[in-house]
Amino acid sequence: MTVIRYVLSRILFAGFAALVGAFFALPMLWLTLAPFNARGTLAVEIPRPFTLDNFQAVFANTFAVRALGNSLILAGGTMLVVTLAATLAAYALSRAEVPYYDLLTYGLILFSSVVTGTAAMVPIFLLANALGLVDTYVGVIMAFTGGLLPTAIFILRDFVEGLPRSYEESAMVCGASPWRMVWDVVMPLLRPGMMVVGIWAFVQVWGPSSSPSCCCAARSACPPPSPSTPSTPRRAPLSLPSPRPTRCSTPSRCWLSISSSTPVMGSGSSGGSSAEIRRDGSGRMGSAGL
Amino acid sequence: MVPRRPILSLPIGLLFLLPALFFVAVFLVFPSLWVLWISLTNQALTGEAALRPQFVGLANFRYLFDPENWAVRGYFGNALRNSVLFVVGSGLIGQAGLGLAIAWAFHRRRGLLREVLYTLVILAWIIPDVVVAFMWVAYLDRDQGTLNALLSALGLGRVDWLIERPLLSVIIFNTWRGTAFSMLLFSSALAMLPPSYLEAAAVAGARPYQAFRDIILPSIRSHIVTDLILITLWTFNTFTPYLITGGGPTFRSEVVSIYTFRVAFQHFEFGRGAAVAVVMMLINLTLALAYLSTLRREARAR
Repeated sequence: MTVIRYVLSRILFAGFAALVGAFFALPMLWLTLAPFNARGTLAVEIPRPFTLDNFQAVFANTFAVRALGNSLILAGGTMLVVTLAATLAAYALSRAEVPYYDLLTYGLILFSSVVTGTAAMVPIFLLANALGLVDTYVGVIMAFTGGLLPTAIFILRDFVEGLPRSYEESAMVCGASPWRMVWDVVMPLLRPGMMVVGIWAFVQVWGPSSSPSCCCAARSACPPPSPSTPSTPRRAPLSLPSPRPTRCSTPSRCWLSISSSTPVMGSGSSGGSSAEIRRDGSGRMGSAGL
Repeated sequence: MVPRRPILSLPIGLLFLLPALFFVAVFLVFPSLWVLWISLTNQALTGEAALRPQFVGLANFRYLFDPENWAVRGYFGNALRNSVLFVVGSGLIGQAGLGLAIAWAFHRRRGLLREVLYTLVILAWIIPDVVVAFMWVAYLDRDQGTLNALLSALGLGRVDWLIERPLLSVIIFNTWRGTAFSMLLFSSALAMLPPSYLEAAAVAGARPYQAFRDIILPSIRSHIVTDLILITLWTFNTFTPYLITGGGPTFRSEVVSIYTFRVAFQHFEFGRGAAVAVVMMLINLTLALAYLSTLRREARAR
């Protein structure tokens, strides 16, 4: 009886593990093969002939390279500003005995989780539009920074609380100014925490598509304004991400402009999307994917 | 305890706080309050409404909740319904359920299988949105997609997933995408359970499912609540389905976040878009307050 139950539970476990493994691995299979295929399709195939030309094509495409560069600038810029501002703020919150310290941090966290994702896109775009910051690096970086700072401060706060105060007290005894103390004593000690926040902020900007970058670079990537007719289909020329990439367009934006120029999201003609993507897919797999 | 002298004086502390407060005030707090005002106007990007937006009262909200076309495809009610299905299907059942199942199945197991599986799940979580979207468009393609190739090899018919079952497609996609968080959270919650609990249950002759129901579930209850609230919040706000179906065909997979995007950034009707954003923020606020109050209750219980 127990033997049977043991065997049964082993079989159940193996079956479960196999199913879960297949569920998570199968969608990734295609991406590991297709980029190396000279005649790439959407099917899973052994690359034949094997080639690296697709990568070359991406890097020869000035728009794609520029989009990658934009991502680097935006993610790197946001990372720097968020890390510096959050370190200073977390340190001040912990060491200056700011009144309503807890209320402030929890209020900020609350705000950042309420004003998030698409709900934040409208207000931030309106603001950027009013300030003339649409489609500028500075606008995108500042909008990202505002959204990421509360969580960054929250993470760094714990790191600051863990620092022994004696280091700072000795620095003060030696007559260091507050700024010098932070720069020469606190920041080197806080490096692990700053690394965590910096990498986290970088990834937050690098990966997602639904973000301030979306609306701050929205003007030329979205279909032309036409309030009466929903979504004018505008075909992007084959393999070029967008006829006129905006200055801040990132790889995510390029993809968005490809997929939003297909008629599928408007009304009718539902086969359009896969046909269009298939066309892009078989034409220049790499550049559309990036 | 001797009262400690603060290391920074208050003015200098405030000076250090200033940059962060500036960004948060200007790019987070102010826009979210301003949007309340915009939602009461007919502000748009072009036309007369762009130059002289007029106060229209609650007209935008009445439009959203207009009972006449409320549930018609392409309107707010349809988007809200899709969002509820999306959150329940992909967030609560998909991510939290599957995450808990994986965490429990691999509880107190070590070895290569666990490492490989966890790596796969986490990989699905950390790949950038755009890459993931492209992978899934290829995966679900009708003629050449991996899934249909597999189905037809098994003798089952091909399905044009993105056209025939758009909402189901994005639900499965989002389950795949986000299970890692729940899995990791529940794994560490289970790892903190004292082994003696389960050993005692085994000695008492409890079946695995009894042990799960009577010991594991009650002891990780607070983690489950935390996970469900966060997952709901994130799933409700996610925009990634747009990259796969664009909300279509004919709005069948249009969730609230996509609806907002369409109204605000494709029709450029900011007043209306702002009204949706306000509704979304109210829902977010409810969820976030629920989360914070459970956190506080846990802290008090400890």
